[in-house]
Amino acid sequence: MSILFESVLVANRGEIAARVLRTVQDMGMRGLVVHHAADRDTPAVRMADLAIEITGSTPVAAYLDGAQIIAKAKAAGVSAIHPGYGFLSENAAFAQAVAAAGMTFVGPGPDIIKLMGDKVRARAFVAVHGFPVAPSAIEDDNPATFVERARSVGAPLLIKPSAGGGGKGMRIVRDMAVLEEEIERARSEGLRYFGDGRLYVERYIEQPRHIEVQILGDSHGNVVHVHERECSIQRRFQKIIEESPAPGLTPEERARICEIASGIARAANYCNAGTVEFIYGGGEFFFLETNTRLQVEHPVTEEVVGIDLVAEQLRIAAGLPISRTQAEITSTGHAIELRLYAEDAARDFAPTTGPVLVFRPPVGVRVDAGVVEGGAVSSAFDPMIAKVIVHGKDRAEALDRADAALANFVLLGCRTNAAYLRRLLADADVQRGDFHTGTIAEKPELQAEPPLDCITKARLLAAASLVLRPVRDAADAVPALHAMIGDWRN
Amino acid sequence: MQHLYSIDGQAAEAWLSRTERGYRLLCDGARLDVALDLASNALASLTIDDATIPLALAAQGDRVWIHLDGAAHEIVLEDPIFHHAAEDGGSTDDIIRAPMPGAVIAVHVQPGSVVKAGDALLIIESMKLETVLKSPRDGIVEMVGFDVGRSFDRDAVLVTLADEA
Repeated sequence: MSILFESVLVANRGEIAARVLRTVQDMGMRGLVVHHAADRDTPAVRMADLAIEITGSTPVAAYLDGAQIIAKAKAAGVSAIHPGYGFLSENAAFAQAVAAAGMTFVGPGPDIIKLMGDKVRARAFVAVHGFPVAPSAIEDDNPATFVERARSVGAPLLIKPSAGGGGKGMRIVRDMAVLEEEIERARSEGLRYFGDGRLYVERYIEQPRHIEVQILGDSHGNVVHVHERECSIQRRFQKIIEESPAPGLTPEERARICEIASGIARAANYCNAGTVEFIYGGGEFFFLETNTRLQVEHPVTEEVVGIDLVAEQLRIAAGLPISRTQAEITSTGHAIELRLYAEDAARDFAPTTGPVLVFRPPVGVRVDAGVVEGGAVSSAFDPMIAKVIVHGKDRAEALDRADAALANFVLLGCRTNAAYLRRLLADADVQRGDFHTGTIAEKPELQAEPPLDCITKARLLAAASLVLRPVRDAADAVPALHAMIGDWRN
Repeated sequence: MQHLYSIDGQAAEAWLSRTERGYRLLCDGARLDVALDLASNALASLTIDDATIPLALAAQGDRVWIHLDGAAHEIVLEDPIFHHAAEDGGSTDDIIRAPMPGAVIAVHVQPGSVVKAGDALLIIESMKLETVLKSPRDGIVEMVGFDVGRSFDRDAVLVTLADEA
C-alpha cells in the first residue's frame, strides 16, 4: 500500500494519542504527537517518532491552543493532523485553520462540524429530512409562545439550554404546574454556564437507553454504518461500560436504527468517521446528536467488525474511498469496553491520584492505556487511565472475559474503579442486559466497598506488615523470647 | 508492638513479632506464622502457616498497595498519635482536610472569621467537579492553607478552626 501521508501529528494526549499513533506507524507513516510537560511519561510520547512540547497556562490550555499546535506542526513539516476526541476535535475553526495552513485535518469539514455542533440546528436538520426527533418546542422559533408550546409537548419533559452540553442546566419537569418556574431556573443556569439563556424543551423518555451508531462517509459519496453500540451504563452523564451489539434491541430494531443513522449521514454529505447518538425508550428511537469525531468507545466496534477505524479515517482524509461496502461490514460475536477510571466509587466517584508504581495489563486482552509504569495519575486531566476491551463469541463469554481481564489487571499506586466495575458486571440486571442510563444511580449499594473477609484481611495485614520497614524494625527490636512473653500476656 | 492500619479506608490493627524461625502476626485474635518472599517485578508470595498465596505488591513510604485475588487494596500504616487524637474527639473537627486532590476556586473565610456548622468555608475543584467544603462545627477560623488558584494533594490541611475555649 502506498503511503497516505508523509507524517501525521496527533493533537491529543493519553490513551487516544497512543491509539492513533499505533495505526499511523503500522501504516508506515511517521507519527508525531504534541505534549505538555506534565505528559512526558506517557505511552504516546514514548512511542512517537517525534514528540513536540507545547505550553500553556494549564496543561489543558496547551492542548486547546490550536494556533500554537498548528504553528509547531507546520514547522515540523507535518502533512496531516488527527485531533483524537475532546480538545480541538469538534472545533470548526481549528479544522479550517489546519486546512488554511496547508495540512489535512483528519475529520469532517468545518461545515459539518458547525452544523452538528449546534444542537438546535442539528435537530432541525434531522427533522426536516424526515428522521425521528423527540417532540419538542424551541424558544428561538417564537419566544412569545414558548411556554405555551412547551406545555403542549406534555409531561414529562426535559428543558435544555440551546448552547448546552454535558448535562449542565438540564431540568426534568414531571409536574406542569412548575413549568414556568423551572424554565426560569434553567435559563439562569444556561446563562451562568454558557453565557446563553436560550432554551428548548423536548419530551423526556423515562428510563432511556443510549444507543449510538458508528458511521463512515467518504469524499466519493459513499456512506456506511458500522453497526451500533449500547452505552447506557453511565455515571454523571459519562459512559463507563459500552458494548456491541446492543443487548436491549431486537435484530429488526438494530437494522432500523443503523439505517436511520446512515440516512442522516447521507443527508449531511458526511465525510470521515462520526457517531449518531439516539435515545431509545418504549420501542421508539429519537435523534440526540451527532459527534463529528472518533468516539472513546470506538474499539468495541473495531472488535466486532474487524475494521481499524483510525485507518479508515486516514484513508478517507487522503481522498480514498472507504475500504469496504456495506455488505462487507458484518458484526461477529460480542464486544465490551470497560473504562478504568482513577476514582473512588465508595466516595461518590471522587477522582483519585497517585503514582503508577506497577502497571501490568492482562495478557491477551486489548488494553488502550494512557499511563505507563513509573508515570503518575495527576489531577490535571480527565481521570480515565485505560480502556479494557474484550471480545467473545456471545455476550455471556464477553462478560466472563471482561471480569477476568479486570481481575488480572494489576495497577498499584492509585485507587481505581476496577473493583466497582467487577461488581457492576456481576449485577443480575447488567448480566441480563436490562439497564438504562439511570441504572448506576439506582444501585448505590454497589458503590460501597464490601467489608473484607477475615482471611483476606489477615493476608493483607501480613504482607503489609512484612514489607513496611517501621513495622519490621519494631518486630526485630524485640528478641523472640520476649516476644513470646508478650504473646502469652495477650 | 500494635500497629494501626487502614485498609481501603477501614481501620485495622495488627501486631508483628519475631519467632525463632521467622515472624508471627497477631490480628483479630488469630496467631499466624507469616513469611514474605519478594520475587522480581513486584510479584511476591506470602506464606501464612502452611498456605502459599501469590500476590503483587508495591510500597511507598507508609503505604502499601497489594493486588490479591483479583482486586487491588491500599494499606496505610497510620500514625498512632494522630489516630488517638482523632479517637479522643475534637481534634479532627478542628482540621478540614482535602477530600481529594484539586485546586481552590473560592475562599469564603479568613483567619478570625466566625463560622457556624455547615457554613461554606471554601470551594474546591477537582477534574471538573466542584465541591463546597463546610465547617464541621461552630467556631473561629484559625488558618486558611491555600489561596484561590492554588492546588493541593489529598489530605492537605485546607482550613483549621481555633480550639474552643
